[in-house]
Amino acid sequence: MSFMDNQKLSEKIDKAKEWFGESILPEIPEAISNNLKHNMWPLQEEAFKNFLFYENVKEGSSNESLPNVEFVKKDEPTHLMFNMATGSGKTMLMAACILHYMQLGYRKFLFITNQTNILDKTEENLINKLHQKYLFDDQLMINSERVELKKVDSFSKTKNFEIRIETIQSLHLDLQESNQRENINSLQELNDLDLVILADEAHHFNVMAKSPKSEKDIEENWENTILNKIFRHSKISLEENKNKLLEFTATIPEKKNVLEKYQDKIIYDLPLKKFREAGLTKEINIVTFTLSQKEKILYALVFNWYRHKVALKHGIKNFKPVILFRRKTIEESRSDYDEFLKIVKNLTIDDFNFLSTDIPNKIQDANLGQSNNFGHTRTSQILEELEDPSMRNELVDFIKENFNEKSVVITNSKDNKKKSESITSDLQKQLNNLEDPRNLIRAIFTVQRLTEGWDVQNLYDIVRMDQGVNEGGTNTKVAPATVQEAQLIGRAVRYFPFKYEFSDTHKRKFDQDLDNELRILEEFFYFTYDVKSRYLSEISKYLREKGYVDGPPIIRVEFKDKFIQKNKKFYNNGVYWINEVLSKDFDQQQDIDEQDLKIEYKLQALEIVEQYVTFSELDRPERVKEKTYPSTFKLSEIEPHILHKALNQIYFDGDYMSFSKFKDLFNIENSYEIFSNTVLSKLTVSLESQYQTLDYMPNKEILRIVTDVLKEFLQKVIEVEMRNIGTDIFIHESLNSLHTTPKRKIYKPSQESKSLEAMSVLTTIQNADWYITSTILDEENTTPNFFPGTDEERDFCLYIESMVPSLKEVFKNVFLLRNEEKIKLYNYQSGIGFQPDYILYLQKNEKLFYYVLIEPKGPQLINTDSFKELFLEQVNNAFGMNGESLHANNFEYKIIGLPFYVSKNSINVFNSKHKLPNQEDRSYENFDNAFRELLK
Amino acid sequence: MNLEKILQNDKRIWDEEILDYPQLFELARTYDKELLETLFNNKESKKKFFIQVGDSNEFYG
Repeated sequence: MSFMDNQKLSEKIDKAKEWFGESILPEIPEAISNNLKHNMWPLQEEAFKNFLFYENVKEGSSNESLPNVEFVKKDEPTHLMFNMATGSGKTMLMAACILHYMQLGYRKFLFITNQTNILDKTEENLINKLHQKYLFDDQLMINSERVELKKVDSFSKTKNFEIRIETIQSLHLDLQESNQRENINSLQELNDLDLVILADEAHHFNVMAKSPKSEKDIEENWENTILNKIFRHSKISLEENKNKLLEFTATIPEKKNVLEKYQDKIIYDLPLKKFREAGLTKEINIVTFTLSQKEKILYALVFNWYRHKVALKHGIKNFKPVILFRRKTIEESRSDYDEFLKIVKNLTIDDFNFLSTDIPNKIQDANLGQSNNFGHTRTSQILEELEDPSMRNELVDFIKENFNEKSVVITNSKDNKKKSESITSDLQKQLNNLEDPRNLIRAIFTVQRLTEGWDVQNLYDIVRMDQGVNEGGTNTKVAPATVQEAQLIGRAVRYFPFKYEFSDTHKRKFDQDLDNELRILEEFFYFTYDVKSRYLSEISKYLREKGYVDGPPIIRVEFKDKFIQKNKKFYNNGVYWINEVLSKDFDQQQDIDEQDLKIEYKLQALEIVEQYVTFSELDRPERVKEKTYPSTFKLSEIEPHILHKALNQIYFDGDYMSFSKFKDLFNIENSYEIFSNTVLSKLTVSLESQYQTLDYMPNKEILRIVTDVLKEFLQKVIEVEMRNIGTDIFIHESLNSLHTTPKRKIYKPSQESKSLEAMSVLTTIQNADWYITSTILDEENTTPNFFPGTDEERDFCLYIESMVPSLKEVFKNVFLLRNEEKIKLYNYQSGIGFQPDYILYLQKNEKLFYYVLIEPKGPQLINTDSFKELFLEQVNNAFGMNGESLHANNFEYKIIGLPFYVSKNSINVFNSKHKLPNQEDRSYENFDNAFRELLK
Repeated sequence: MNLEKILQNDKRIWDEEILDYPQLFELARTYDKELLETLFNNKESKKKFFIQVGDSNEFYG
């Protein structure tokens, strides 16, 4: 037995990556990426590479860098499970897997799931070319031939690429002998095909593994139909069986038998916690309230309006938040729906009076975790906005305009006489596409119609209209209705991607700036009556266990009370300085540095690993490095068709770069000019590869290089184009305005920041009269058990502590301010903004302050951030001891920029590891000498 | 009437090739001069969104 026997397949692959290096994972073939409409996200790529690795090893790929690992089962058909969180893009992976198997010659695909609404969605994703969410490229090219994947009810005997999209129930029934029909494949016919079976929401298929029963039960259940009658049928031996079964689910049932069944099949495991920690979800907040039914509705509508306002203000395009009102019964839901429309129809500004009178006393944040308790904060922000009376009129207009009969739906048709909800397929389609700009739906009334397979990016609020607890739970077991509600909340965590400055479109942007008004666009709110019942603790417990909530703590930084009390004059009259910025037109010739036109590129996957290794052998295999050659080429030397193909596949933040963008950037008429008449013609690539010259390099490798190089370069150009330039006009702002509201941010402490030494530094700065802000855990109001900064900052604080006695001999007052990313300066030349980490105020006499900008820097960043050090030097020359003085509130200021603070240890690391070939050694005295000059 | 075509030159209401409806409605709600001029200068949209009251035209979009 090997030590890896108890690990999941995905963990074994991780181990293999650790041992042999990432290069064992194949690159995603162009034949697949070119056939997909969008690029995969990094986590999807990771999952797909695991899959390709497994299949390549299994099929005995010719790629000699693949190790022959024991855990790949070569003597039976592929059966894998993608266990990935809701909203992480399982259907995209499914599409990529389909393409992979199409390349290998598979022609018949069977998609199965347990719910009809998932069928519609899948058809839109995989078949409907006109649909916004269609995942394939408009023209599928398989092995250089144009092909089509057709949806069929029954597989033909042709070589056409066909997909059946079925519920497991209907497939199971179709295969019963009593139901055999002429136009439906018999089991015999299915067994004659090499099938790729894609099972979605696959946790529903575990009937046998969950509760093994009698032979008759097994014979008659769905799992048996799929697994034993279709996939591993007895017509041929397992070695000869070429079928593939790929399962997809977010939730594998936590039963021993089921977990054991999947242990050697989980090819990729992406729990929600990891997905959330990667910043790819909204953050969940639960707000409990004691409001009337009408007030509940209005409160949610106010949140909706506020999000809309914020998005408009910041130019977030096509932002259309949706609210869901949930009820236990169809009758109650219908009555809520009617009541809602009545409320909206008769709405006046007076209806919102309850907001200003007693809302703060009627709402409460559920204690879910520090990043999940923002109900009160957001409500205050909204109330502040509504203080302007004209806003209330606007709010009423907005609600009447956007929440009328056309845009408010109920998931139950008027003529439905059944006990369960029923809707038209047209409404189902609309509900699956709430993000579509033309989709009018803004509010949904539902009971339990919307559960699995319904992933919506713009669902922002759910209001639980019931007031009581859910029945059916026990002290140890959560009530089923509560589990359903928690799962419904899970539907809403999907992130709504939006562009903001240079941030990643698909990731949360404000974890470090929780009070930013835009943060509400990455928060989901669940509103519920029921303040202190078991219901709330149950739902909170469930969400915590599943990784939906809770996480690193939030710290709050504010001025120390003692500092304010003792230094009122400075606190009220002191200032901080920022330089003004000017916008400028982009000039490709002037604004792109010579240096930016030279790009270094190392072609990867050059390592070859020796063959067959078992994981019971602990020795690592020897690596053999292939010889590499340097070469240099200009982009203009590459064949035009490769350049244009590369241009077409460049993809930024979820969007392809369109020609209109190139046209505006470079002022050109057509795409051919881009490589002849623009700065791109001067782009030079220094390449390191196993090819002596480009002539020996396959075109697909050249394409890969050119695409990467172009993407890197154009990203830089876009940044430069959007940049302003910093000027030498410095203006001041009041120091006391800096923390009018305390700075709050999520802080993930490292192990090192919790060490005794780190804690001792924290105690020092918390107690020091020269350190003017305090850091507190936001909820607990206590000192954190970690130092909230880098090792370099810690060392710097100790340095200042050691210097304080000398400083106090020379200066009347010494104040150190940690700049919590609030004071931003702009580089003169490039306009890049940066925030010096610390500002040291040294008061020389009644009139004069030295305002010292200090940036502690880790060794690995010294060269990358050298432009900041240069800027600090320029500021020092212009406004330092011998430069011009600045004046504010009867004080004179000298702005002094110092070299980077680098600790003694880091200096050694820099000189030995990070220094460039022609660079001189850096010395600790660089900073120390400059600092000591201040004492003279 | 093809409203998208009429509004195609107003960069403020386009997200690449997709019309930004919330922004369009906001501009209409605030009687944005540029938007109203565009709609007024097209025969079809003028007919749809304006009503003549005496000597003047009133926007009722």
